[in-house]
This record gives sequence, C-alpha cells and structure tokens, in this order.
Amino acid sequence: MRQSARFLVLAAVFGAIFIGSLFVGRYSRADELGTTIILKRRLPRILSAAMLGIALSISGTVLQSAFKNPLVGPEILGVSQGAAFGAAFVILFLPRDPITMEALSTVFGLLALLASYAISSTIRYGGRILRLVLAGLAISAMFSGGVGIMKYLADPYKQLPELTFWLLGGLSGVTWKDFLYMTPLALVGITLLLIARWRVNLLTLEDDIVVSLGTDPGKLRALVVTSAVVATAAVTSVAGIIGWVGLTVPHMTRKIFGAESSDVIPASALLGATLVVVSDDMARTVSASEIPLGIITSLLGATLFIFMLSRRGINE
Amino acid sequence: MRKGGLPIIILMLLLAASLAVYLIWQMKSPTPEESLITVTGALGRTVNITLPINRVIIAGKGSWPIVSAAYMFPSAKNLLYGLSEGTDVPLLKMVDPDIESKIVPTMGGTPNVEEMAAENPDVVILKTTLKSDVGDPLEELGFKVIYVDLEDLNSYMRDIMVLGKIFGDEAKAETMVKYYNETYNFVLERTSTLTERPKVLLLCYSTKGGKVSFQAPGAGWLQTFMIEAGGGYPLSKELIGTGWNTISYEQIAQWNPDIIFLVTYSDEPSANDVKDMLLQDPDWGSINAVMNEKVYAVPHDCNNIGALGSWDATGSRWILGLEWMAKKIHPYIFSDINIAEKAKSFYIEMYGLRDGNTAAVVDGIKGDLQ
Repeated sequence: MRQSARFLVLAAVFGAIFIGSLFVGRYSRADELGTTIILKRRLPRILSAAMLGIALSISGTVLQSAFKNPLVGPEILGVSQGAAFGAAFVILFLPRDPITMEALSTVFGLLALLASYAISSTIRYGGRILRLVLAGLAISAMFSGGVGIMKYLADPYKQLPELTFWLLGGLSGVTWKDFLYMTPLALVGITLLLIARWRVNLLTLEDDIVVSLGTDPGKLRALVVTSAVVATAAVTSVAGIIGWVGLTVPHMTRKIFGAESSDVIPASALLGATLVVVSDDMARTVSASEIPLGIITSLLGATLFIFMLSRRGINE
Repeated sequence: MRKGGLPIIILMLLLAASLAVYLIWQMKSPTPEESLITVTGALGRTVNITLPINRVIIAGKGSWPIVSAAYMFPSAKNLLYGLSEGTDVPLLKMVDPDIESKIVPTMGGTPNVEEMAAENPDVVILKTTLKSDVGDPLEELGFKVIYVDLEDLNSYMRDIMVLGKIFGDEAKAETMVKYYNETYNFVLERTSTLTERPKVLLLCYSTKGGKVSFQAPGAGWLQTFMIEAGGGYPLSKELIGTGWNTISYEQIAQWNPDIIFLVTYSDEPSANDVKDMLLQDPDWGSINAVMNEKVYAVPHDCNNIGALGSWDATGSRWILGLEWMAKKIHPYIFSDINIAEKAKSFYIEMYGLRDGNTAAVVDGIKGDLQ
C-alpha cells in the first residue's frame, strides 16, 4: 500500500473514532441534556485526548530520533518527572490555577532537560547519546525523589489526595477551559515539530555528516527537543503523567510507515491521537466510575507494543 | 583473719544473694494491684495487657475515626498522648483542652516505629491496614498493639467494646453500643418496608489538580450503607471501585438522582458553596435533585479540614448522619425528629459536654442541619 493510502486509511480511522466517540458515553438518552453533554463535556474531552495523544507521540518520535535511541521518551530524559515536580510544587505551595500549573510544569520539564544535558557532559563513560540517556535517568530519579518529598510534606487531608490524583493522570473533568489552556503551548511545540519533520532524519546520522550537509546538528537537536518538551509539558499539566504513548506509538508508526521522519511524525500524531481517544473512551465508559487513563494507556500500549514487535513489519 | 570467720562470711554472702534473688523476683512478679486484661481486636488476635494502662497512642493513616470514638470515653483525655495532626478539632478540644499538646507530627501516615517506641506506650491502637508496616515491628519490640477498623456498623460495635476495655470503661462502651444500635434500629424500622426509594447520590466535590471532579463512595462504604438504611436507593451501589470513585457529570446525568448529598471536607469551597453553584448551573438544571432543590450539604461540626467532623464519615457522628439522611430522604416519615436536639443529646451523653459547649458545637454546625 502506498504511503498516501496509508495516511488516508489512518486519517479515516481517526475521523471515524473521533465522531463515534462523541456518541459513546454513560448518558444514553437523546434529549436536550444529551446534546449539552456532547457539546460541553464530550467534545472538549475528546479534543483534549487527541491533543494529548498527538503531543506525546510526536515528542516520543522526535526524541527517539534526536537521541538515536529507541527507548527514549519524555520520561527517560526527566521531562515527565520534571513536569510532575512542577505541578506538585504548584499544588503544595501556589494558588492552583491552570496557567500557573502549565507554566511551572513546562519550566521544570525544560529544567530537567537542561540538567540532563549539563550532567551528560560531566559523565566519563560511553558515547554522547549514552551519556545523555544516563544523565536523563539520573535527573528523572532526582525529580521523582522530589515528588516523593512533596508527597511526604503534603497535608494528608487536602494536598496529598490532590497530588496522588494528579499523578495518576487522566482527563476526567476536563472542560473547554482546560482544553483552551493546554492548546496554545502544545500547538506551538507540535507545529514546530511538524515544520522541522523533514530535517529530523538528519539527527539519526553522525553529527559530522550532518554538518557536511549544511545543517548545525546542535541547533537542530535543541530546537526539536525543546519543542517536544514544551508540547509534553503543556499536555502533562492538564492530564498528569500518561505512560507508554510516547514510547509505543513511534514504534508502531515506524512499523507501518517506515523510518522516514517526514512520514513518521505526522503519522505518529494520527496514531497517537487515535490510541489516546480510544483509551479515554474506555476510561469514561467501561464502568460507572472513571478508570484512570494512565492505566488503560499502559495496558493497551504495552499489548500493542508486544504485538507489533513480535510480527513482521508492514514495511519490511 | 580469725579462724572460723570464713564460714560466717560465706553464710552472709549466701544470705545477701538470697535476698537479692528475692527482691528481683518481687520486682518481676505482678504486684497484688497489677492484673491483666485480654483484648481481642479487629484481626481476631488476643492480646494480654498488663494494667494499669497509663499511656495510649492512636497513630497512623486513618486514625481520626479511632480518636473521635476514643474521646467518648472520659478516661481518654488522661490516657491519650500520641495523636496524629489534624485531630485537634474544636469538638475534641472541648473534651480535652490539652489535645494540642498531644499531637505528634510524626504520628500521621505511616509513623516511625522507633519514635513510637521512644514514647514508651502501654498500648498502641492502629487501623488494621497498618499491621505489617507499623504494628508487627512494634510488637517485635515488645509493645502491645490493638487493631480496630471502625468501618461499618458491625465493626463499629465490636471496636467500641475493644476501646471500652482499653480505656477501662466497659459500661460506657455498652451504653454507646446500645445508643448506636437503638438509633440504627429506629431508622430501619421506619424504612425497611418502604417500596418507594428515591435515588440518592452522595458526592464529594473536589478541585484536585486544578480540575473540578466529583467522587462517590464505593459500594461497600459506610455512606452507601447509611443511604440504604435511611430509605434511599444508593446509586453508589453500582460502583465497582472501592474507596472514592471519580464520577463524570455524564454518569450523574444518566443516573439522574432524586437527592444529592454534598461533602467537600474543606471550607474552600464548602459543601454549601458547591450546592449554591450546582443550583445556579444551567447544566445541572435538568437533573431531578437540582430541579426539585433536593441538594443538601452534609452537616459537619468541626473546622472542615478532612472528614473528622463530617456526619457522613466514619467518625463517631455517622449515627447522627444516618438520622439526618433518613429525614432528608423521607421528611414526612421522620417529621417528628429534631436533628439539632438529637445532636445536642448526643454531644452531652456521648462526649460529656456541658450545656454551654454543646450549644456552641450545635450552633457551629455547617451544612443543611435542618
């Protein structure tokens, strides 16, 4: 099947799932309230789920290319834990408005990335990429410890439940306001990555080859990585930590679309959006109580991951 | 040394040694005043405790229901000294003016065993969930640990008797059990034969993580039991999760409850604030409870931080909450019940408050008492 045909099929599947999701929910009556629910509750939530899927998948895809490591995702470089630390800081010490939450999540996500970069240069072991991944793991663990301290310090009656709830991740209670808060920053990151998609392939080559092709690999890497962090932090500030999407979707996409980043990046956006919308549909409809989205993405993502890796690729 | 002096010295040494052994034995043996009590806690374990009990610690996550029940025993204020943060609420301050000095910050969550041991308690009372993390290590150090649950009617009755033994007041424990049983049976007599049961939903409003969300108690929780006993159909019976379940607005609309009980366990916002918000929100206008203005803020009698003062939670006043719910669900059937008067007599009989303090507590109750 040609790439364009694959794109069309994927876009059609996403479109069908998006529209279908609008009509799937716990409220089943077709009356005035049903219409209100579709417009005021389901639509912003499904759009948020799609945005979440796009941001995490695209970020995962470019980070894997930028660091030439298939295991890299926002969580490996400490970005997710940094963003979680920022959000926990807001819950404990600052007024909890969405903009502060988003700002602090982004700032700490970026700080985690910068710290990973800075520490990687001090490590006297392995190549540059390995050093960065090792530094990222250490920074991730440090921010994770920081979140642990916040949990320890949190007031057990008010702050701790909020912190735990947020760390579980999910889109329960998301409104148009939340969607509008997360969208601008997430869109900036996503748009920059889509614009740079033709060049992301270069990052998989050796740096001196990239230089010989007339591109500064350092600047390009900094641009795509920063964009990925901004997009991830923006959606994380609203949805909390959602695992496996940023790791699974890039691999699935490469199995279907090959390794060309100009194809993989937009395709991973579509596939990621589809996966998260379906997961969130399950989270809000399977039972009367909401199931945390992170649980479903982990189960679904890991299952698909194993399935995809254990069979021959479509493009092989 | 004079000849023959050695046997006398040996004899004196033997006498001294015998005296020493006797004295040590005396110290180790129970004095005539000392005796043992046998307590069987929530885990069915029998623990022998040497009397007198002078120092009792109630610690760990979820210890506030135990504290609120323990203070119904007059001796508690003399025996309790290690309490977790947040338990020094106004009601308990009236019972024990020194309660603030008994708060030990490290007694919350999963308390540090060594710090507890350093306090040298005669008895430590814990929730059953803390057995492996806190109770077992304490017992290895030789301390006496009693577990309680206080999660439902049966465990409440059993655990009050356990507390009665520890606080040396089994007569008061029996009075309390009689009061709880009689009140429960009084409500049940009027509701058990009802065929029309309004759909009732208890919701906890929160803005966790900056997002508005509603949560409902699990099917096995006390609130669900209270609504059913009070003559309603508890919609939370349909929930599969234990603990608090996050519920979407869509699910609430689908259930379309006839009555909503609100809690926030906070003053920011209070349940009354949320009630006003829901009654004015057009999105909620088509839900029966909102349309018919049958949205009620659950009363609470403490500074509303945490659930300690809320009448729906497992603190001692859930029994008042049961009558309050029954009256809200079936106002005509319970029209002869004056909840404020019931509350007054509860505080006097159970906590031993005097009239002035009782009036202050009742006047300070937040929520839709009447």
